[in-house]
Amino acid sequence: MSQTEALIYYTVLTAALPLILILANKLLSSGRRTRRKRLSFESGQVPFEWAETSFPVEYFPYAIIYVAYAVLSIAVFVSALAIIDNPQYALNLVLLLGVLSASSIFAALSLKDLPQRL
Amino acid sequence: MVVPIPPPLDQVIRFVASEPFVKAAIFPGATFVAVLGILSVWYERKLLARVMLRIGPFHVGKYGGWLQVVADAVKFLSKEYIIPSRARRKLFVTMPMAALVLSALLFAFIPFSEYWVIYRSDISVLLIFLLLAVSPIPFIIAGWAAGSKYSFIGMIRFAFQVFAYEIPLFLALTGVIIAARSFDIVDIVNAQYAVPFIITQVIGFLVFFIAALSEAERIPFDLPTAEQELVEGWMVEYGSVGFLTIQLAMYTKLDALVFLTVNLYLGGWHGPMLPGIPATIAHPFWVFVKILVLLSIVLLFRGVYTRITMKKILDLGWRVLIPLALINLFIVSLTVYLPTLTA
Repeated sequence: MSQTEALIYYTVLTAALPLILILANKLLSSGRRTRRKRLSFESGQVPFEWAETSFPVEYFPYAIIYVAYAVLSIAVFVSALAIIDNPQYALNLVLLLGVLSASSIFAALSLKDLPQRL
Repeated sequence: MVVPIPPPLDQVIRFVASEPFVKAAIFPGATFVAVLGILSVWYERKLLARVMLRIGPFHVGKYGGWLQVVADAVKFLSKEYIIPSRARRKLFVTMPMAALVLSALLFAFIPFSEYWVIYRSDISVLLIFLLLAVSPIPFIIAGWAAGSKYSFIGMIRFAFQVFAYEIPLFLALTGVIIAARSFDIVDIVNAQYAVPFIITQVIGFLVFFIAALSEAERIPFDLPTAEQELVEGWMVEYGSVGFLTIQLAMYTKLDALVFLTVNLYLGGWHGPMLPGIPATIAHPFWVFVKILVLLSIVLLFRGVYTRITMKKILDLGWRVLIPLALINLFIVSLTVYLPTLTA
């Protein structure tokens, strides 16, 4: 119970910290707000178009690779869980990881020519 | 004659002196985390100054300009919090706060000894990974919400960097879990009583350490906030208390990752016996010694290494760290399987 209490107190204090900072800022900072201060500048110029127009589409292959590897890593993790209590079945995991290691090295070599821009 | 303490005051004193409150508010809780964040900034400045043959903070504070960071914090708090006209106002304000809360919550599950931990959970490694996985999201949203091209490019870079390094981090953690046969960090540290995992899983340690550096956006992985080209990247529009909150969140996260590395790979609080000193003090002492060494290495990278390009960052994550993490897991699972053959 005392641990749960400590976690609750800590969470409350952690959540209060940024609020205290905001409050301190309200008290300490000057209140003279003008429209000119809120204008955006890019290299000293007034920005043109919206920022989102420059989104690089060619990065999407990485998102697909991420999804593929995320599924694989979850599969590995669940298999690893199984051998915590039953180490005699570790051969299955050894085989799985052997295949995955070899295929990830092959994938790494194939990924060499993936287009990148940023 | 003893003056009796009035009951309401007595209750307040008992509450403040209670174990849960001391752990949550003082050590290893909120006060410790805040002081640690401030000291990390000061230590980085002094260390980098020595590397660059400068003095560093000097004038504010008697000993090594240690009050300079406090003075800077007061300066940030006294500045007007300007929200750009193109920004998504609510997200722009709330995301730095969310980032700080998520970063600080990591310390709730990181033990300094078997006793000095805010919340000891059977699945503390998973809870920490959950927080680590969620913690970049406020930064990404903050970069998007600022409504600037610089912050947007920084946000895109950060998102792809996090994508590339999250899976190696998770796979390296899995190796530690298999070796210790537990999700509890206290059990994981105790499993390293004889030999720390940095020796038995040196590949896993390298993968975890590099991925942690990337998660914390430290040089050479600080491309999302590249000062020279993107003028602080995704946080370019932030000033005043917003910038202060982000900095505090980033340094808190860095400290948490260093503590986590010490616990997972460097044997945590295990070290040579200190004669005459009880374990409740000796254990945190060894943690701090290891933290200081590892933090110094991490901070020194800023003075030693250059920033690497996005292509190299992504290449390292996808083409090097993931295969290495899988090979590490392969070796760890072999070390679990081979003893069962002889048994």
